[in-house]
Amino acid sequence: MADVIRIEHLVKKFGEFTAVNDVNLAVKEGEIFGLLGPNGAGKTTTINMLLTLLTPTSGKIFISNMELSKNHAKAKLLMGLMTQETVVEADLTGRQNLDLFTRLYHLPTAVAKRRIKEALEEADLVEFADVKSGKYSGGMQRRLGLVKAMIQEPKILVLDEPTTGLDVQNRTTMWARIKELNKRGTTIILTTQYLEEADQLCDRLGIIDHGKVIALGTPSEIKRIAGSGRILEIVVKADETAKVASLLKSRFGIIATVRGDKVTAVLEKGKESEFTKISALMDKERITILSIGTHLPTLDDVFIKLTGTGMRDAAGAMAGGRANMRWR
Amino acid sequence: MSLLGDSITMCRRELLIFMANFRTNFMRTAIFPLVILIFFSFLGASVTNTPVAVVNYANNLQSNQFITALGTKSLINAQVYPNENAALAALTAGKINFVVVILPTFPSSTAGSPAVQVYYDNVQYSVTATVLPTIQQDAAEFIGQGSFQSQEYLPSSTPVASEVATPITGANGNYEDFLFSGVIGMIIVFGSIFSGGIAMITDRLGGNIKSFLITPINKSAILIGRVISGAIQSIFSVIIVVIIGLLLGSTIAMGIVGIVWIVILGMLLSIVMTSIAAIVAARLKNLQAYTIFGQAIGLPLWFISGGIFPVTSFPPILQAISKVDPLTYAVQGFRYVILQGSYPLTSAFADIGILLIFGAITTIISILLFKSTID
Repeated sequence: MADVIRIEHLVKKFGEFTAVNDVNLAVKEGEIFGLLGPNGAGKTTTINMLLTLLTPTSGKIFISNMELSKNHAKAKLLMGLMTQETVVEADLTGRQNLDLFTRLYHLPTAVAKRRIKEALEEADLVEFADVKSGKYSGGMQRRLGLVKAMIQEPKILVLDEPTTGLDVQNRTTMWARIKELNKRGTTIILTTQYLEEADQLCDRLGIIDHGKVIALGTPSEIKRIAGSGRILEIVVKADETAKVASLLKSRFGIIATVRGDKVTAVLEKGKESEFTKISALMDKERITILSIGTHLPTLDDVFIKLTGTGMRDAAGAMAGGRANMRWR
Repeated sequence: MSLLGDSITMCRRELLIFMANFRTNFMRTAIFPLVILIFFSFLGASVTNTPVAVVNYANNLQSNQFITALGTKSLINAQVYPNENAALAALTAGKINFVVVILPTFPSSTAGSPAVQVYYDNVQYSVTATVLPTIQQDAAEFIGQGSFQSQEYLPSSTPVASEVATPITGANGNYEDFLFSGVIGMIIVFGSIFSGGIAMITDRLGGNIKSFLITPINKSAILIGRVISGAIQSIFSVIIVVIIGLLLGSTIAMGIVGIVWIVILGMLLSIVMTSIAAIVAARLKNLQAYTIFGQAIGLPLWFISGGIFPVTSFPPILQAISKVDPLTYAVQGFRYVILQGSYPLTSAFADIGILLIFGAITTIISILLFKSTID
């Protein structure tokens, strides 16, 4: 399938801070593409450049084979955006909200009228169309936000952390809506810091950290980076982690990663049976095991393997980088 | 689409939001004129011991009784001068504020010559407004229906400009009317600073501006729409303040035509002030900081404009600063309309021209700053 978005050698610097560092990506028509990374990794900065909110320091972006910097107006009609903060005009009614955006997108009156009607029906807000949207519930505002982002019937929908802060039920509903939109032909590019979201929703994803794309592929391709076997995870007292790691290395030849009180390592395919031996050895060495187990590789394991830190840790450490960005 | 079309779209949005919060906006606009006009004008500023020169050409029983009557007023510190020239010289020098000339025919008057002639400087408007009626009242006890004349004394060396800067002839010439002009100006200044600027910051923090920027509209339209909507909202503010002022007993000497002038000046002032608000809001990230800046800009602009005291009563340095305060020109225009009852076209063109220049400069700066902030 054709690439609907192509990003080439994209760089964005804020003073000394490089938020996006030579990013190359292509999003295929009709897919759900995820940009996964901790806070401050450069996801939102990349998205903002895509949406023409920021001018790249260098590099090029193509939307439907048009170079973005030369075709702002046309490209903007092809893209809709929904952000983690639900942005509705709280003082305006649902209908006025939609009407405002048909005007901002310069839709002809007849088209605008049709789209407003369709959008209200789609968001299940016909009854509340003339109520101030500030009085809507959180879920209603999200629905309004989504149909508002789609008012000009864009080819591409950009979702910037669409489910951050949502409860489980609303998150599942949002996923269903995203899949539904995608089924109808909308290409979706979304950013997320939730691994399970990327895993569930995305056809392909890119992991981004410190402004660089460090892995790119389908979720299963990416998980294979962590190894083809199983992941061993042992939790012990923090002062015994080093001992566990050295035992694993000397007795089994396994290289382990230590994070806090957790020792993780990959058990390659065919060596899964060593789990029992490792367990027995720990017992023999009188190491107090708080928990021990194995699981199939997850994106978190990939992240640990690629960056040496987990998503959560990285999120905390990187939060400071955000201050340099004008747009949240 | 054109910049104009996009600006109208944005302006429409602002006005819809304004209408959605109509009650709040009404209260915000009405509360200050009510409080200020009631407190400042009805409590009345007290004036004591105003130096008054008396020239007694009649020198008869009645004239001496009149002088004694003046002397008993705490408001007045009467001093007798030998002749009119000496008294007028003292008035010019600023040693006294009034000259009361008792003419030889006192207490009766003849055609062409009044019984009492009063000259005053108009440096402190509130003083004139309080003392002059007192003198007239005292004189009336002696001269009855006889002729009493008063006029502002302008030495020939005084430039005409300063004469028109403080028009005195008014509908009923009291401090309330004087303050009325200042309050109209103040409502527009603070309305623009607080509604325009705060909306800009909340829109930016809430992500609304971002949601506009991803659409293919002209970026400048976001700002221009806001400025136009501010100007339209100022019509509403002017009408509310005028109604309150009239209900509280103020008058507009020029009548309905005067209200049209007030609306025009008010809209121009609002364009300047909304742009200034946008300039300040462009770089500020939180509302608290903006509120402080808003006060710090709005209050001095109001004080220096002559809204509360006549500009001519300021020390020279403040008079100079008042020349670069856009509010000065609007208040000056309001005062012609409200107090003098006529707005000479030359003055109108000057005031409106200066406000237009201010408006053009501030709007351009605010657009440039806005564009650089969002990129």
